[in-house]
Amino acid sequence: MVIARAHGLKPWLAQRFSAVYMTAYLLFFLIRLSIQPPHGFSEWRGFMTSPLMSISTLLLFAFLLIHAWVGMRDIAMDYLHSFKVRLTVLSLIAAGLIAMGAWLLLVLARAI
Amino acid sequence: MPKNNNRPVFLDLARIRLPITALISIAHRVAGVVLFLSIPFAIYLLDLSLGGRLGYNHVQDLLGHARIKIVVIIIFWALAHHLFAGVRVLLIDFGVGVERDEARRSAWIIAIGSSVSLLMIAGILLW
Repeated sequence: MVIARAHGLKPWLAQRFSAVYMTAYLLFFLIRLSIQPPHGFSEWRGFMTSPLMSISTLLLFAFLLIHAWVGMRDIAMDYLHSFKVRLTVLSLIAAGLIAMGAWLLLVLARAI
Repeated sequence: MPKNNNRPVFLDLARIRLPITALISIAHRVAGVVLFLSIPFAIYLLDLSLGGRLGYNHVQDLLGHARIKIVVIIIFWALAHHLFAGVRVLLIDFGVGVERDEARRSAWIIAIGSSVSLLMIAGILLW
């Protein structure tokens, strides 16, 4: 059986890069909403479904899911020492993250 | 590896004294898990709020409930702490504040920043 070796550099970089993007998104989102808070449903929807925001939000969740995966994987590697338990937990987390990504895609596609 | 059996072992939580840097790091992890668990709720609320006028109003009603407000405060607190502690880690990656005294000082700043942000978040949401 071939077991993929855990190389550390790529996940480490992904964690940092995604963190920087998410921080930028969060700052923009908070500043934009405090300067010009959307009044009512149509303004909120118009804002979130504009090309800039829908693409940024899609990217946000892509980075968020990668970031969450690296973080949860680190925690599993630290505390779950039984191979079977670790594999099971990581599989469930991966399935959950993929499902969340698909769900978000549906939400954005429906709203646009 | 030879084992030194005379090492003191403190597994009594009341006797363990961790430095502030370790406490900040543990809280960073715990906050990360809280944020991971909150992703589905965020997507659910986004879905409701974008789905139609009814859903949008429903989200506003939901966020008005005291119990849900407490959950939202905890999630935003986790986000604030995770963000501050993450920026600290990034700075350390770039060689800023690596020395022990500096690292401890920045950890205290994060601890104070997190506490202040909790008060601010609670203040904004409850008043």
